[in-house]
Amino acid sequence: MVQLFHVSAGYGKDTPALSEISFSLDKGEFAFLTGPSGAGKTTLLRILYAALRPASGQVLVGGRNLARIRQSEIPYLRRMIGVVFQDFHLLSRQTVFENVALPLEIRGFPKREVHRRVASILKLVGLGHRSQARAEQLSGGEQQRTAIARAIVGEPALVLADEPTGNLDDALAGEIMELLDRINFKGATVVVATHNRWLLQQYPRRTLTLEHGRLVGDT
Amino acid sequence: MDRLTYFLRRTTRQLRGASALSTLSLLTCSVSMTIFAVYALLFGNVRDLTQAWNRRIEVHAFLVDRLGHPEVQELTHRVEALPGVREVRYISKDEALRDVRRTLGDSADFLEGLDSNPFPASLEISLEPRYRHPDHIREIAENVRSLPGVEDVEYGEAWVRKFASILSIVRVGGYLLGFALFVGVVFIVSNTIRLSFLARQEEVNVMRLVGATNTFIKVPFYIEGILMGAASGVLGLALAYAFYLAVSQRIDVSLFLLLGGERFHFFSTAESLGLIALASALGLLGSVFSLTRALRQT
Ligand SMILES: Nc1ncnc2c1ncn2[C@@H]1O[C@H](COP(=O)(O)OP(=O)(O)O)[C@@H](O)[C@H]1O
Ligand SMILES: [Mg+2]
Repeated sequence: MVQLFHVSAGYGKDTPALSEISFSLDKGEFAFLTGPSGAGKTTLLRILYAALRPASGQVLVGGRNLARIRQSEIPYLRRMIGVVFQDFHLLSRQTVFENVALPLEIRGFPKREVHRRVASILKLVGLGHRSQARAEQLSGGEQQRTAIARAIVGEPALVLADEPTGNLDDALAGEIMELLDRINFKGATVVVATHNRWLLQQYPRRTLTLEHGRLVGDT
Repeated sequence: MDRLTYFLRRTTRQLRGASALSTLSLLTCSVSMTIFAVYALLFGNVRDLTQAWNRRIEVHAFLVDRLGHPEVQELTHRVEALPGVREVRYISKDEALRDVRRTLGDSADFLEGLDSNPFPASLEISLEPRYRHPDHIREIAENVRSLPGVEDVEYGEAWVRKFASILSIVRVGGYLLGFALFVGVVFIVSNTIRLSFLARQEEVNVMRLVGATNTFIKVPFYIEGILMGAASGVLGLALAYAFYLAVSQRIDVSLFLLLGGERFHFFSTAESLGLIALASALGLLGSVFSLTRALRQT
């Protein structure tokens, strides 16, 4: 599903944010991406959904080479990837329903199908009763769950979650993990960037560890 | 269908968020369209009037006195044979006198004092439509003049011809004015849509991140541009209609009737729809320009 060969990337500074990263993930795998703040977790995820082009190396995601992907192909790549952004990227003035429906509207789903799927996903993340609330009226945890609902509503083959339990206590973090597990169980490849030690201990999975932009552990 | 309602929902949201500035832009565009519509209205009416005159352009051939019946027939046939001649009507001296009497009405009394009829017999020569052009008319007139039995020839008054050339200058002026106004409308719409787009930068970014194509992002803005154009077309037309009402009440109807049987008229339905379509196209053009620029920047 995901293969990286000697990938380096940066933001035009002397020290690259990532250097010489190589690993691969099979279809249906679940992996944590961990490391201290500033290690390069977000940068690595951004490369996977083609928001950042690697300076060198090759990146294959779902059969596409992201080092050479054409701009016009990126939307179609992103439709097979669901991303839970670290800062959510919700449309604050729009409702939970509209936010979650967006990926389906983009794909041109018929209205009834959009309603059916959004309703069932919102139930799954426990936001069925909040669907008409505007995103800006939600609590941190509700925003996080809305972001997750939007990431998975299109049944993507790859789910990337950047600190999805960032603002949550352990109980809520556990719920989110159960949710991601469930998606993974249905066949999606899942990558979760986190520095939440409790989560890593509670849910032992393959763990890729970054430090100063280098891959220092893969267990 | 669901696609369209989705896009319209997004457009509606954009319009609801529209600023006072975009209302001002809309009004500016409407005024531009009004100016254009009024110009087109006046031009169209004057053109129709001159065409009505043109339709009546005829060549009159006055005949020498005491021309016998066979000679008149011979002459009529020869005139009919000329290229561009549609119909030839013979007006005898008596008919000419009667026509003058009828035209003069009450003031025809002085004619009674004449002991002989001073009006010559004539041929009224009407032309095929495509020969109703100054150059052709002159040619036909000269041909008729050279025929035996013709005393003199009179045709399409000079001022009608002069007016036709003025009208073509006015037409070119209209094109230039229209072009300038349209460029203005495109420019204003383009700026308005660009601001609307920039105000939604965050939304646009999010849509990109979840896999929206450029087209998907742009369509509601295109619709917004088209609506803005169409609205300024409708408003412009309404203001032009108000102008028309005000002016047509002030114009003496008989003046127009006298000048050629044409009334001062507003645009036809087709012309009105055409104007709105034109304004919509300008709006679309404006939004295409602005988005090509704005998307390149992001
Ligand atoms: N937009 C950016 N511009 C410049 N530098 C950045 C940007 N984003 C991240 N960085 C730098 O890249 C490095 C990796 O950051 P990041 O991938 O966000 O780490 P993490 O997600 O592990 O905290 C850090 O040194 C950070 O300062
Ligand atoms: Mg990060």
